[in-house]
Amino acid sequence: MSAGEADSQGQACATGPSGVCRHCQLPIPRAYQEAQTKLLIARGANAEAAAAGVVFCCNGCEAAYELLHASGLDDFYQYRAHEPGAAGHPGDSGESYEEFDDPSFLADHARSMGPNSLSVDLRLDGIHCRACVWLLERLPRLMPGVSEARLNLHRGVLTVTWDAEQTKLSQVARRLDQLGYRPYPYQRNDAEESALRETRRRLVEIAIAAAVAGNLMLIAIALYAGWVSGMDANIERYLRWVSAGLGAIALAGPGRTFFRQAWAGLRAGVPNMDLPIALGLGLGTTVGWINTFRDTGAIYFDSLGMLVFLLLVGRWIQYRQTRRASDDIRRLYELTPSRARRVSAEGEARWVPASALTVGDRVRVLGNETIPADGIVVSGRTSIDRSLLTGESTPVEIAPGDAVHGGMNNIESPIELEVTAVGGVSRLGRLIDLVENAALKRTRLVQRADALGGWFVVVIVVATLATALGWSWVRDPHAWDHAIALAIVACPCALGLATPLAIAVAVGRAARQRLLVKGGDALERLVHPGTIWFDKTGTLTEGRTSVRSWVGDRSVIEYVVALESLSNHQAARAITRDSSRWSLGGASGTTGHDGASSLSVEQVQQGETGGIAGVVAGRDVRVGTSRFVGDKASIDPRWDRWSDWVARQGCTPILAAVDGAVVAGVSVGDALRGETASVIARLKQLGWQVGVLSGDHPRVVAGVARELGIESRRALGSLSPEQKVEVLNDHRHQGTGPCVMVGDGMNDSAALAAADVGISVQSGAEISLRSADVYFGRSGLLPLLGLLQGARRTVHTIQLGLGVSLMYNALAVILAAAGQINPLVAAALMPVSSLTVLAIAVGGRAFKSGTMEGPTLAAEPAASLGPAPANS
Amino acid sequence: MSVIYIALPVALVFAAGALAACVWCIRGGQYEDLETPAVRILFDDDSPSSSPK
Repeated sequence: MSAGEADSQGQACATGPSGVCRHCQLPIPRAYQEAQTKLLIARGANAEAAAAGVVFCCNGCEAAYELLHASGLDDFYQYRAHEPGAAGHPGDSGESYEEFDDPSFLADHARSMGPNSLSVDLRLDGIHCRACVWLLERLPRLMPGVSEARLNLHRGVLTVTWDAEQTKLSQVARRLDQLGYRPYPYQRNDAEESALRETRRRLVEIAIAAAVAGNLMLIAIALYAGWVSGMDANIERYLRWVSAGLGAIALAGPGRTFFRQAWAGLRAGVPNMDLPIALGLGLGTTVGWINTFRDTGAIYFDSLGMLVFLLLVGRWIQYRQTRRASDDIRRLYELTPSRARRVSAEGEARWVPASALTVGDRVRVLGNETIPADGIVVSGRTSIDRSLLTGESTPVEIAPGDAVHGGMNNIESPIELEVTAVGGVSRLGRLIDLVENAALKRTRLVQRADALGGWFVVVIVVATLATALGWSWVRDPHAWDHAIALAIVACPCALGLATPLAIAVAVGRAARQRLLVKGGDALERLVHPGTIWFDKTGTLTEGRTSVRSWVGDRSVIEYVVALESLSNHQAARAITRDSSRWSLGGASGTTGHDGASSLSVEQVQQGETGGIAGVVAGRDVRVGTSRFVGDKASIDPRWDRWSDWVARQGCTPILAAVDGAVVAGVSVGDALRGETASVIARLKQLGWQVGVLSGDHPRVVAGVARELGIESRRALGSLSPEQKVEVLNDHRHQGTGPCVMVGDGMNDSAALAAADVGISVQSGAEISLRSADVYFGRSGLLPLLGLLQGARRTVHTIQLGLGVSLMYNALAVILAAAGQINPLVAAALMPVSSLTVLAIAVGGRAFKSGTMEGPTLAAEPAASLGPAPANS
Repeated sequence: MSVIYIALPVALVFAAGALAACVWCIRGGQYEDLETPAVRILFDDDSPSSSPK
């Protein structure tokens, strides 16, 4: 949680330093904290904790703390996995949610559960701790009229059943909002319904495959034992036939998927990964059945059944990852508001659900609201923040006739617009499609590993037959024993385990360092240096406007701040907030942190050309652009040169004139993060090519690139989200190595998905980060170095594991083919290689705390607020 | 040893029964949310100190 985010949440957090919730570690506004401490002490509950300054952000957290504390489980707070994805604690937004009572909304979203009883799914923001489950499911006690509330923690969806006679959905929504959980409408669409059916179908297949494989294994063990200790020929034949029957079930049931997909691939002329698997399964089954009929020779049904089961499990894991990614991407739609003020022909505005908007509707958007749909402005002038879609760091002035897009923020005054596109065809909708497609394309690459398993089976079958025939040729009575021993000992378990095990261990450890890695293949792609592209705003920089330097007469700072505190302009707010650092003697007595000043300000004028003028404590003060200040004051040429210099740095020069002459200048801009320069330098040292892709003005981008020593041909500005994807695709084929994108906002999400590896850093819009492969749950760029190092170590571990298991298999196969191992010994040896691989995976150094580059979590101070601005 | 001619089919019938139960659970949606029930069970309804008010 950055200071910038606290700002954007309004003034609640700005009243003073905040405490941190003992349970979920979210910051708590001071006023709330004091009130709560009093309450806790008065009630006697948790008094001990309250006296020690322990505070909570919500009742759920408090109760959970109490529960754990009382049970002596306080260690939980040391050991708990950090939950970097945890959303903020938004508090009461004061919204009315009246659109939830709209008949069209209820018709779309609610299900009837009986007379007057309705049920609806709401997606909640702000579910940050487990105790929230407890709190939310006790909603019926908090709200008469609500009969049931069930939370799905995984999806963050609350199913509420309520009595339409006793309460309204809008009241339920308001109560949820007060508790800190902002509700959004959630609708299962057709795609999700079919995804649900697909999920269940796959699970049923896995269940059948597991049951069959388990029973086949039991029978196989009996058969192996029989070979050693002797077995009645009739019983042996019986067991072989039962195996053959079960094998047929495995193949005809869950195994059919592989044949169907292999056939589909063949028909399309593109042999796919399922082909070798289908070949292996088909060949193994045929030989097995022939041997069953001949009543001699090896049957492979146990291995085949296991292979089907393991392959299905592997695909299930992959499928779940894909689905989760696409769920996350769908949530990007929440960046547009769920409701809109529709203006009727009579000019009356009424809240309606955003989904009810159609092209041609007129919508009113007030200041500080998010635009609900794409449209053309028909009346009103304002400035809007387009950073969500474009990454521009400065707001843009708009007037009637200009086009605006859903998701942009209206900063100043009310506007009315005519809707031109909604939902999936809006700019944001198309962008989300782009992200989704790119994400899907990438997960397909993963399947290559499966093919190895298929070919492996073919090789084993051939080797087994060759062994059997070879030994029969020399008339060895144990010919088939040797063959069977080979089939057992060559089981590809260890080979198949090496990669997933090492990745699972690495991903788990990384998560503890708050590096969320979505797919293991991202780690594999980060091993060799390639090109790494950074977004500028919010990634290399802090993502908010601040004062970078003050020059000239510092005695006028108080006057300037007194005047600027009356303006709502971004630069003015930055000056009000940051200037005390430069004022004489540190923080000035007359200028508080929040900009309140004791100086009297009169005759305030806001200029059209960017600035503000007034009489402060009897002196005539003008602050603003050189054009505005130059209207009524003389500007020394020295200040013009300074302005040019500041502009070349990518910052905005603001001049301050007192009594008709310019005496001071303020450079306002987006400051680089403190660690950026050292991280970039280290990346170059490691052999990475570094570039910048930004939606911001090229001049600003060039300034940042110069400061960081990035080549100008790799510092690109004015890029739309779509163009960023193009640049990535163009550059991918030029250099060697992977193409990595590091970004933070919605405007980067398409590029994050299109890059070989997308990495997102923590900043404002949390849900827009999810299209990335890797997500840093800590602010700043330092985790990047740890990630690269961890990736190298993970791949090293994988290679070691694969090497060991391959060597083991090769050695065992040679010994078995030479007739040195009997089937029972082979069965005992089989798990040894798996255990070795497990030991290698767990013993690997990837992401081990204390051995990572860049500070690890334990060593890092809470949240770095960045350095003091650079002096000029 | 000939008891195996009966024991094996019986074992397979048991396995089929377990499989049917598992499929029934899957179709009933019990595998869709594996997180919440695990958390839900942590909270005791009758705990006097954990009133939400």
